[in-house]
Amino acid sequence: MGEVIVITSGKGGVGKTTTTANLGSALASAGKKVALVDTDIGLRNLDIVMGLENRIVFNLVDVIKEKCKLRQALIKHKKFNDLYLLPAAQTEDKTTVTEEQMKNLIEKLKAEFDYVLIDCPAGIEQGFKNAIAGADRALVVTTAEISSIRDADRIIGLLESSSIKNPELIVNRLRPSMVRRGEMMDVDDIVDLLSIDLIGVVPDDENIIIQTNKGEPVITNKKAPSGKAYIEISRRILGENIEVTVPGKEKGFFAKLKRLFKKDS
Amino acid sequence: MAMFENIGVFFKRFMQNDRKELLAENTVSQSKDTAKDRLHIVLMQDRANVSADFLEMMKEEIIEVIKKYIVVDESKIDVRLTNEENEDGSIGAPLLRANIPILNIRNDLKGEYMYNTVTHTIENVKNDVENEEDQEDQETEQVKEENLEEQEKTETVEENENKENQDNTVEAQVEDIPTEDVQTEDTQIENSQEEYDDELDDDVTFDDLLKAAEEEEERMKKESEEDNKKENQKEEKKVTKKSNPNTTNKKRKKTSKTKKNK
Repeated sequence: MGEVIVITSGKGGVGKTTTTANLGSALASAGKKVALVDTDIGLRNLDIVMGLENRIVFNLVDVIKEKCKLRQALIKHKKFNDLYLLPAAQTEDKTTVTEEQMKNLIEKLKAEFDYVLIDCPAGIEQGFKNAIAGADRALVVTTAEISSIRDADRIIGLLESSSIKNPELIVNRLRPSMVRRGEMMDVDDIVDLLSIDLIGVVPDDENIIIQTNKGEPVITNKKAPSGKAYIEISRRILGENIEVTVPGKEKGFFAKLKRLFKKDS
Repeated sequence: MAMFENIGVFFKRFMQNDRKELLAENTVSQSKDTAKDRLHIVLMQDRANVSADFLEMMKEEIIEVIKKYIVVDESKIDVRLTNEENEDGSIGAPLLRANIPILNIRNDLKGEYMYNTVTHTIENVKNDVENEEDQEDQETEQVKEENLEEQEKTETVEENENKENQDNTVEAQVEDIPTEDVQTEDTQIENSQEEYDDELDDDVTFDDLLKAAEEEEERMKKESEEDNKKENQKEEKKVTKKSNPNTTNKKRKKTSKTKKNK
């Protein structure tokens, strides 16, 4: 039996899809059997971020409506062993599927995979409710902006009143130079406000755009700081107890020296 | 070339950091602090308003509890969630406000519960008051004892001075003073016994016996107080004279007194 993790945020555009793609890829690189599920029916994106948009035949709605078997809809990634994607439908909308149906589907996936990562759509309506149905664990993604923190707080409240306790926080798109100048809230501030456990911090990184352009997850770029952060988070998911590295506050002599030379770190 | 660029950046940063540090103490609050404060308030409000029924449920439960103890005018109860007003006029922390007009304290069945709790409380208060009084008594007694000790200290000091004078001026009289004056405690008790026996032999009356017994008591008391005093003196190191002469002086006095009464 695998673990089902939903990646949610409330606010749109903070990095749920990017996080799902990269964490899934990192876990697959570590040898796990991983299924990625895009529940953003009508506005699917996980496929294009993973570079699999040309290989879609069947989707989530087809499986639920029993137009095809689950096996037929799952797309196997060519570069990562045991990494599969279940894409969303692009022509329907989020009211097409019920929570019960989602739950059944997730149960089937859980039986076959080590990890099932669910990419949750923005908002708090049916799409969100479907996405969290059947999940064991939740990761809440937020940036250091006032609106995304507010929405994250709402989502945390909704998660806690559901069956998913103890959601964990990912602070995305952190800009250490702005934090230093006092123009961006730092990780401690955000954790204080939201009062949940921190699982990782991902710095703002141009490489994300570059890699997405190519349709590859950023972890394939060994030098990308965001890639390193995602790999660290995946290790924590796997159970390793490592300290959260906060970008801009890396310890060690060379890291500090690097910071003096780099423009924007 | 890139290397030179980087070195340039390095020096720029160096300068910037210095300037920043210089300015840091004079900076007006930065935008992140504003964001934090705003978020703090907004999150509290959002959380409190999450459920419209939340306030209604809480209000009903509060009223139920209050109704156990007092009769209230339910139509006039006002429970609301507002915000504090800060000193500078801005909106502060959320505040739960409840205005509940009281009509009467309950006297019926529920009142029995009240009665028990009230009498229980009264007893507790009584006990507390008694304990306090006892404590006060003890304290005054202690104070009295301390005063006594102090008095006796001053007395002893006077006696010592007297003794010095006596020693200095009338040395010859030392021989005249009966041997029983230069005493230890044991001999002193023996002497008192002898005195007692003497008293009996001399057709002594019951009153005399009584008086002697009383004086004996007094002396024992004083001796115990002297012991305490001795300890105090050792601790405080105020009176440097040794204690033995004091007791002898005392006893000398006492024996002379008892002698008088004979």
